[in-house]
Amino acid sequence: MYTKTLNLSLILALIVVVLGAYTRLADAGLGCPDWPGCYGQLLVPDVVSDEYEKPLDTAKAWKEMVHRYAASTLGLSIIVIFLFAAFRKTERSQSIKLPALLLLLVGFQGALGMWTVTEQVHPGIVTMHLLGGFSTTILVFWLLLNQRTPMQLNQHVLKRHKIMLVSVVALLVFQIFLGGWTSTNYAALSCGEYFPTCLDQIWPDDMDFKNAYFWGPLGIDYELVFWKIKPEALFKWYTGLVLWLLRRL
Amino acid sequence: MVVTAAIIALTFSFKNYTILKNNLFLMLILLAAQVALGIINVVMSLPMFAAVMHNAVALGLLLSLTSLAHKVFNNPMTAQ
Repeated sequence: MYTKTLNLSLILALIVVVLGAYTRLADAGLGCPDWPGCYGQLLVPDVVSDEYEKPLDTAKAWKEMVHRYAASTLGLSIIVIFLFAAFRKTERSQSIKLPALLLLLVGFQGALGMWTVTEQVHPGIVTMHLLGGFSTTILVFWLLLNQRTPMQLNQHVLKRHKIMLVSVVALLVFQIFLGGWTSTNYAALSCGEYFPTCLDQIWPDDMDFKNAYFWGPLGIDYELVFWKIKPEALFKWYTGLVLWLLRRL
Repeated sequence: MVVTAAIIALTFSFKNYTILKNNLFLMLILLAAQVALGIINVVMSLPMFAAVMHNAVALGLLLSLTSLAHKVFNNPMTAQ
């Protein structure tokens, strides 16, 4: 049953991540301006009182709520995973540490989901919410792999290859962070439809690096905010990290 | 570009671990899909489907690396 719950949780986690991305990309992150209810209701209401600053957009509100229902279901199934591990009802032995971490992580994800709303889709919070969702999925997957019969590699993996693998994972995570940062700052189209250049220039003169690091809230009219710069252009940071990794190899 | 190069370099260094072949192949397919989706997103101004898939494939790519890491680090031959 433990492995089945893990399988179910993995599928749920993938659904929740995709729904979350869809909610963000459809600008529906504040479809419900309150939390955990939607305009104070369990379901999206037909009419809302005018005490709410944000007028009701039923389509956006439903996107937001479907994400919350799916995420809550995932939260429950992760509680079940933890209980199976705590009572040693796992098929193959599993230390309680990772299931406990998973439970903490999903709880923190719930809090980040709440802050996404209360802090009005603050780019920093939303990016952390993305990374939290990815981490949750990865951890469920790892626990699932732990239940499989270990595959015997027929040869040693060299130490430098292991270091390389870890470095590539770190780079990919950093790239995902930058992608989340770009999207949560509504900056994905700030280079126009030009590819691979930015507005037909390799390096636009008026890039605003100072605000690229801006961690502040976007405000209630979040859809209207566009940043001038592409955070992906933060090469300095990036090349610094790459060079550091290369030196370690 | 850096990550793409890093993943391709990883594939080259792991090419002799024949048992990981399928893993590496899947990883490269996902990488190619991710690059294509990224370009589609820019030149077509974020079509919803491509934008959502760009997120999903990012997770898929990370999962494929996770699976690789699980095999490498949970292997009795390498645990020493």
